[in-house]
Amino acid sequence: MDRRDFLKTAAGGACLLSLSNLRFGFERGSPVAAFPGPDAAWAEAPEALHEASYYEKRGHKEIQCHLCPRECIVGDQERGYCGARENQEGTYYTLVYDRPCTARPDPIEKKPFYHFHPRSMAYSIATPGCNMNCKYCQNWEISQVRPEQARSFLLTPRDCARQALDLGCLSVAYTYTEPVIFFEYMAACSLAARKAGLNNVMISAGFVKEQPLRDLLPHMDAVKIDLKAFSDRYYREVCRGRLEPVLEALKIIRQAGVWLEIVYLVLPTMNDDPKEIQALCAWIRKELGRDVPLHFSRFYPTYLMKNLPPTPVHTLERSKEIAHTEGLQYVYIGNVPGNPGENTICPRCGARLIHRTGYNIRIEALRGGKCSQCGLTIPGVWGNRPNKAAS
Amino acid sequence: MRPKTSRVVRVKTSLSSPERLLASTAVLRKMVEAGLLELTGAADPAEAWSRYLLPTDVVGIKVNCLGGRDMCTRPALAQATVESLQAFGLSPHRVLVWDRSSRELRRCGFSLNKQKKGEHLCFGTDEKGIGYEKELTVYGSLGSLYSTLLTRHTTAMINMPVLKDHGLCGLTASLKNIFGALHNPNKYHEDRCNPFIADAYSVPFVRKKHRLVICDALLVQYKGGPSFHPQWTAPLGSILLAEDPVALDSVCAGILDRLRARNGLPPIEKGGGVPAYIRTAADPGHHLGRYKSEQIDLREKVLQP
Ligand code: SF4
Repeated sequence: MDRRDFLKTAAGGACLLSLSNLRFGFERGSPVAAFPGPDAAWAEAPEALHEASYYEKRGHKEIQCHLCPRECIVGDQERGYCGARENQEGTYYTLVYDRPCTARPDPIEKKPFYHFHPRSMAYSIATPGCNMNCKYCQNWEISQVRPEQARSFLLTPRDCARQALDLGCLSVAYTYTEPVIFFEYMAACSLAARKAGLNNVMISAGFVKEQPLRDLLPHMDAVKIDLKAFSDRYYREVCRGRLEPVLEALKIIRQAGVWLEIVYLVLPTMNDDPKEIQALCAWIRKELGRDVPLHFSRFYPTYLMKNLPPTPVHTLERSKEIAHTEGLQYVYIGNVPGNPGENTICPRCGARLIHRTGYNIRIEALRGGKCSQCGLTIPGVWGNRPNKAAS
Repeated sequence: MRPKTSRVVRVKTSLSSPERLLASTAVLRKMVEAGLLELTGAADPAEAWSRYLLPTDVVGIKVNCLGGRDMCTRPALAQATVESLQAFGLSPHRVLVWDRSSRELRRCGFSLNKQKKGEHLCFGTDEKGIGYEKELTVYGSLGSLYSTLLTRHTTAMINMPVLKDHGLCGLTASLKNIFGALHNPNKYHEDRCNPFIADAYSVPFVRKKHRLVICDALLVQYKGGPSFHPQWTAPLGSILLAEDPVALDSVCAGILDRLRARNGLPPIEKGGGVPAYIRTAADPGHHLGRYKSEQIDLREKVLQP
């Protein structure tokens, strides 16, 4: 897809005859951080209608969405699995275009990105809905609700970029829920962000069809993928997704040359088997390369998974050990502030390049993207300037 | 002792024009009351209602508005039921006609009433101050927030669905109507909605509040549902009543299959029979009712206008 086509996607209805913009007027709210419960205070607010991209009309007012591997077939007045898209009279609409429920600056390490502009801030936006349903979702109060059940506000792509700049952010992050389901809005915001000289970073489960992903990647500077497990059964039973499309997405992202980091949330007894971890690491080394950062993250009981204890730290340390044995070079432990597994270590000389304690970050033996002790080039996107100049 | 069969009553009218029937609250009330008498064996409608309700109950009539004005629970049927309930002794503000959203109710022709005295209430879960529970209900495969209209604001539920074919699960009638009480029904359309529908109906407070189903089969969507497609509708001029939602849905499956066969279409379930979620609802883990024809005491009444 060329830039013009991508612009069309951002404007809605890229795969179809374009419709006039059907958005209605809406009171401008204040774009403050919000994490509301689904108390449906939005009852009479006009809907945010914007024609969706990547769908096909099938006759008798039925459509099929091709944005993610679910490929929902949706009848008139119905919604897809994500709840963020609705068929109205045979035209498919995203209900969340320029209606984030959250917009706030976060440290980039919170995403987490450890090799992408450390210590910078990312203006982080999300809209309600998700195309999966992970039983341990920390953000289920916004990811597992319908748009009308969360408190949202108007934030145009231009205002999003302006806010990011005003707040001193280096990037705009599409995060918290699943940005794939607000694809059109993300596409429009990424164009505005680039124009303003900002980076774009996506935090996703990678459960997306190939074409939309390929169309999006030229506009992304970094992608973090939550790889839920290395077992299709786990994907189906715990997350209501599938493994294969995610592995494909990882390969595509890597091939596209966009900076990639992977997070693996370790659930005790569910996806922590050393054999599974070993197979995962072997796959990463073979298909993506040894230098893709891998974060083993600690689970805390929440949502529908309150019956498990938090991940024992030694399980995370064992997983990290396995990854190193398999040859991966940048392996981290997440959600355990103060654990030495948060630090970036030079794989050649062992120098501590970046010291982290939660969001306290100290650059130590890293100079110009190289280890200051042995001179090894450390993969990543370093410095404190955006990647690409404004176009 | 629990009877060995579940009674389902189908009331038909010989009124030829469906438009006239849909507009006639008087005829529909006669149908509801005739069905109630047949269902309960009571001598009069008040006695029949007293088998299910107390005058102190707050009764929620859960309608289904998803298909829009042309394929929803008809407002006249809800109105006929409300009038019958009032004759039984329920004061108007103890009856609430509800669904997911006020907007959908209005679109279907229901007159919203949030507080006006002397008339029954009618509004959706999305009204300010209503919404969904904050605590998840977890049951089997289900993890959802239920409408507070069901959990807090009413003490008894009359389930009033409309009979439609459903492309994803076979049919929608009484059991699936509970999806309209959940905050996330879109998450439960996989695997032909099985076992999600049965799980959603099995949670203790739904079982406790469920009293009766009055199913609108006046104009039936036998293909292309749940949305409205006029070319695939049949004016059946019927309503169905049952205490057992599984039995009622099983009878509805038969009705749809016969209509489909007449129109050269395959049965709703591949190979015939009732959809899987209905069988699940009857299994020992859910125990919501009976679906086998030999366990159903189907009674038909024809009402002369
Ligand atoms: S993006 Fe939403 S509607 Fe489209 S296929 Fe995925 S879950 Fe279904």
